[in-house]
Amino acid sequence: MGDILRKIQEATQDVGDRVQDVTDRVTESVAELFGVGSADRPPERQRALDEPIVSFRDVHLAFDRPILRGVSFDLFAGSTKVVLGGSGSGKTTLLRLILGLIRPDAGSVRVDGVDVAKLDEDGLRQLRLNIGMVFQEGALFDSLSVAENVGFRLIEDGEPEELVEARVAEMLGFVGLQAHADKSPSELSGGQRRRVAFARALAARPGIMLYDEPTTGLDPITATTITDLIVKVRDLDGATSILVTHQLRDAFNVARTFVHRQGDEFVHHRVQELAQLAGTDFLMLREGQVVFEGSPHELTVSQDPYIREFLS
Amino acid sequence: MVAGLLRRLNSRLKLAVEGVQDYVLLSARGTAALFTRPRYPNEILAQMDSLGVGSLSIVVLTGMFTGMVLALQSAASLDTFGARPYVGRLVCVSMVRELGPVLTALMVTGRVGSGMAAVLGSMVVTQQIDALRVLGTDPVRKLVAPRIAAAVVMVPLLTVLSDVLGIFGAGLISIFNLKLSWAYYWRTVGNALVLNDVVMGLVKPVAFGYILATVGCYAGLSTTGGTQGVGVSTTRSVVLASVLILASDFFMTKILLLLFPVV
Repeated sequence: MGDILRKIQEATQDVGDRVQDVTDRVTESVAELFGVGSADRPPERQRALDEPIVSFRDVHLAFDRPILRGVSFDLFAGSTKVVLGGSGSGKTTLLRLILGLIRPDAGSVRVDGVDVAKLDEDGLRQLRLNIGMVFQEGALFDSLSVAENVGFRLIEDGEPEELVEARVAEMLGFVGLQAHADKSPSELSGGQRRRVAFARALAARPGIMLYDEPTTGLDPITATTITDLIVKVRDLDGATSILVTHQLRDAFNVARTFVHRQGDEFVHHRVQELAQLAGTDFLMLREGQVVFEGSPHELTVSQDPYIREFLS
Repeated sequence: MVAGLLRRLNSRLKLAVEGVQDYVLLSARGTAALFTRPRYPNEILAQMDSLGVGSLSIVVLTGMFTGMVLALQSAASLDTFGARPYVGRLVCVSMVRELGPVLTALMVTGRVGSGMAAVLGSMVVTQQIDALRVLGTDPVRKLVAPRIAAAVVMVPLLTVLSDVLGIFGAGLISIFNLKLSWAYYWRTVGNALVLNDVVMGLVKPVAFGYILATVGCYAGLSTTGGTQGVGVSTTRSVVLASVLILASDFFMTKILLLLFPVV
């Protein structure tokens, strides 16, 4: 009797394995057909150590009008690029191209050594695991609590509950919003929403951070708390960052301020002499074209009439 | 003048073809996502609750009053031929084959399809859809597939409820207004209802549920132009889904009558 039961169990197991195999094959075929694969294959990382982590080469993009016209720049690991420019100059578009949310009409956008335009949805998903993005208005999920927003990626990845809770508490502590974990995003102020967006972007410890006008519409004091967070992420986590903004005050704040940890304290330094700054470059766009790329000091001494007007 | 008109017509046609292409692609991807991992069972249950339980009241009222008014109107016509006793038969076949599925789908479209477009449209304009993608989640898998699954399951169930209440409402009119006996009414209903009617009455709502969910999601996800665009998408989803439901009803009826002829 025991033998019979064992044989039935083995046969059932065998049939189960075969059914699973067939299901997986059908699933893969359907996924391939409709481009909705669930495969977890990592992107092919081809970046050499001395290669830039983000690289734009002669990128062109147009919708109903030209948005980017021959944009080229490099961003190396650990450095920060501040992208300046007026409204409609194509600043946010750069970030959307890096994330693969849109594809260039011509030219190439390489992130971590991979040509973003050549990745399928699975490849893009893998690439985005290493990128954190803080959207202009925060883009928090209204139907979720603050804690669920912060832990969203970890929950989606099926991480254990204890790990998610610990990471959420750590991130909310980092942005100073521990007491707001159970609140809904609609109960938060504009500045608090941006800080939650920070915590959410940082939760998965990305190597690249993108900030899309994170201080727009905030008062100067709240804006400073946001720029301080950008500095902390840059200096303490060593993240490679791109900050898109048209707020000169915030751009120079990020370039001038440095932070280090002393025990449990964060100590901020402010460098007054622009010529001594390192690690942060400015890039200025005008009507989809790069009109300046260089250090903060070079920007302030530029004689280009457009830059002079922008800085005035 | 003529060249300008032709250019505008050409661009409108291109946009329409692109729209159809995007809709078909979104529907196909949403459907395929139901059969591949990861799936979101909690999202499906939440949508079933919102779509099914949330629509109970309007479906109950619509079904009941439709049955009642159908009994009143058909009795007036049947009286001409002295055929008043057949009112149960007429109401039953009309409700199960046609009115139940179509009216339920239209009511759910007005309540839920527009809601889907509004929610997804708001998520687009506040960059929440972009945020989902950046956080490694496929919006089609997370938002569209559960809505399709919920609609395909719940619209047929709501239709059955609407049918039953419509026939029940017509029964009340038959007894209190048309002076037929309760037992006789239900006997005529029982005699009228055959398997072919039930099949037709259950196949249609599955298709209608699919249409209202995919159109609602498509209208929402293709929102442009800020909060004003959300309003436009909502209206567009109701109009488009209603027209598609009525048009597909005609073609499905033609096909189903060939497959399951009236006996």
